[in-house]
Amino acid sequence: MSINRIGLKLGAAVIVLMIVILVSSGLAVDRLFTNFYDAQMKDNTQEIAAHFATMAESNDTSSQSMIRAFAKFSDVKVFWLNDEGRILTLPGEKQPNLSFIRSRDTRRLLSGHSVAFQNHDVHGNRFYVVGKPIQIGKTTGSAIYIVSSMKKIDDSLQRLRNLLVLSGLGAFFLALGMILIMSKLLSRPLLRMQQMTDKMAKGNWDTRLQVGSRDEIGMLGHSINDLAASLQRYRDTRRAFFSNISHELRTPVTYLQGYAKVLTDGLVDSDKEKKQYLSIIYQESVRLEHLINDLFDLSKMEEGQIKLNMEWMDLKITIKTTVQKVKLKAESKRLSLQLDLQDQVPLIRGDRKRMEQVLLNLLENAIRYTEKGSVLVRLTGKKEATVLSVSDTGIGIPKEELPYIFERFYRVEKSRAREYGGTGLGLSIVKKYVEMQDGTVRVDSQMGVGTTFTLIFTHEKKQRRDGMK
Amino acid sequence: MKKIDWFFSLFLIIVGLTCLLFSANAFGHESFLAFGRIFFKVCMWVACPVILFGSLYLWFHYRNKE
Repeated sequence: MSINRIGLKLGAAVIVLMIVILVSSGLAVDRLFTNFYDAQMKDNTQEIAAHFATMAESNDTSSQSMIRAFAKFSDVKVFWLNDEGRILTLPGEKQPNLSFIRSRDTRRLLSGHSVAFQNHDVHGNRFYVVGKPIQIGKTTGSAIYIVSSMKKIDDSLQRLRNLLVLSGLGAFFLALGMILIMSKLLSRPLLRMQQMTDKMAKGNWDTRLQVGSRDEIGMLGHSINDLAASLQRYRDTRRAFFSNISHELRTPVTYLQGYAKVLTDGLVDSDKEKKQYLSIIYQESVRLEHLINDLFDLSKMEEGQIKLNMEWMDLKITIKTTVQKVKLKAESKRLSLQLDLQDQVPLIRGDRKRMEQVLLNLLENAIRYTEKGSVLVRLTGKKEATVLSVSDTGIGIPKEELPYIFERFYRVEKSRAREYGGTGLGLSIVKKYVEMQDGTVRVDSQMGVGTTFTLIFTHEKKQRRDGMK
Repeated sequence: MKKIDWFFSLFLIIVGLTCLLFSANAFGHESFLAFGRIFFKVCMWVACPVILFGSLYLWFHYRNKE
């Protein structure tokens, strides 16, 4: 039988409590019974003594034999004292040894007062003695002593004590058995949790607890399961991130190495070819720089190190500035870049520089994945929110891939990633920056028709927060 | 809980109940047969609420699971 620590502590605490209760209640019950029997026996003896004294006072000749007969029935002993304090005996009867009779008590009796005391013999047997004066007329002629043995009561009390100990022992065993079951049942879920967290500490984050109860222990189990799930998700995303990052970094570096070696070894035939290779090297280095910058921004965002310079800004100005930057790219692909900006749009609180980056990423994506048609930037100011959307007439995103497009390095066109360019981090950065500025991003897309990214900045939330500040 | 844990706990509970019942009946100087009869009665009285609460618990447990 394994004794687990928490079960042992719980059991020991309850057992100590049980022992304290049993001992104290046992002592109380013992005293209660002892005092009750003693009091009852004393009352009885006093009553008998009073009766005998009354009978003796009648001064009838038959009263003495009657008293002796009654005493025999009542299981008490009666001793007569004459007016000199000597014990009277029947003819032929031996003088009894009454060492318990003290001259002080006898004097007190003969002066007309009752006495009562408890005594015991050499064997430890207790007895109760009651002395009564016998009044004849107004004088005390003699006295009687009634001696009642307490042996029967003592025997009964001893038996009662033994039974009390036995019942206490029974209650103790009963409690012990129940405590064993209770402590096992209560400590079992905790032990399971401990075993599971041990597994988690060793890196096994796939394990889950079977939680049945809805109490605090059940809630703790759910929390541990949630913790395991989030740790597992963290590990999976970290693995995917490292795998992606190594792949994304390796590809431009391979290009750079390859073309640089071709140029170093002089394997080019013409200046035109050389220029082409140098251009590729330049493009790849720019791409590498973008990738590193994006990664740096993302890591800073995740660590919470980026501090936004929040100010009231006009989105129209930001849109116009950003559109100016991508105008050339759009023209080179013969795409029409259209603006639909509402006149009265309220100012929003945000970081001008980051908002420009968000818009730039969205516009670059739109241009990148659109071969013909247009890119439309629309700004509308509604009562509850300012809505900025970037729509294109590009290839579109399959519906099943929409939930993942904001993940780092996630690409819809995996096989043609190099052809389209981009770092695979743009949308991830967009989402993070927009959320940091209390906005939300929504995406709607239809394959072959186009994609629309919508940024929503609610006014109420900002006003409330500003109000609180 | 292992079987031995159940066995040990139930053994202690039965010993405890026996001690309690014996001490409760000892003053009457009753026979072992009468003692056995009372012991059985008490066990049944203990078993009734245990079975009742156990069934209620199982009923709630399975109803919530569904």
